[in-house]
Amino acid sequence: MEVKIEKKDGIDVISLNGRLDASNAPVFDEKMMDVLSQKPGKVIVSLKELEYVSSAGLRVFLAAAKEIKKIDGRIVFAEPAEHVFKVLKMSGLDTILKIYKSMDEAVSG
Amino acid sequence: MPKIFEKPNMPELIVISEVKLPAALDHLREFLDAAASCAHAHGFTAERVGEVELVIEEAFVNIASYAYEGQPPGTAEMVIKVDEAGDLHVELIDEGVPFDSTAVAEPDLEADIDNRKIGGLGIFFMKQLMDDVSYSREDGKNILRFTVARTA
Repeated sequence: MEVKIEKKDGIDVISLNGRLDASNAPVFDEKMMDVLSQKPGKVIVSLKELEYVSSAGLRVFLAAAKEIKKIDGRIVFAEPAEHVFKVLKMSGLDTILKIYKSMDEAVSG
Repeated sequence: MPKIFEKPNMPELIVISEVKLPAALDHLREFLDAAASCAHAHGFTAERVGEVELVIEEAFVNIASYAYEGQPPGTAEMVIKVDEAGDLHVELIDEGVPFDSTAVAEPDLEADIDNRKIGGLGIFFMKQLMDDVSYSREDGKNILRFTVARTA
């Protein structure tokens, strides 16, 4: 999986490309915690190119949401493919994570 | 009157994949690739193939993380069979400590963010997406079985 981290208009955008599973979730977790250690105001996780996610990846999403809450920041998720959204919904995370259908909504939301 | 052969109760199952490797996360992809290619070869949709991978990953990760706790590392085994209807029958087998993962409490999907946990989602996904999920302990082995129908 590729993890691209960039800053756009003061927002940290983390773009995931490929498969997020138990074998690479620890690496993604480390990168996520690096971003959060800079105490960002807002982080967008772009899921557009994410092909697959299992509970190991969802654990990183949840841990990031818990962590950023402590520093009064916000993390939002953008553009999940339909099957990825289905997993988010089945896990119940859709009720506590902010998930937007488009990048524009994620930026302004 | 000619004798008519009775249709057996159990459908005839043909083994289409067997993988047995050390129960370590480095081997996750080999299990998932084998399962995905079986599902793909039997005409499952890409979305359904992804669901098969998801539940197998969750079960395999449980074996790799917990089955051999406090004892020498062991193996994980996956056997996939197909029936006459084209449904897949999957068995995930380990020789670790007896553990019925189907009895794990359902995760609390309503808890607020501070109290939310990810534990227990794996078997929950399996029960949501697959049929006939069952556990048995046979000859010192944990065997988790489920059926993959064409659609969830």
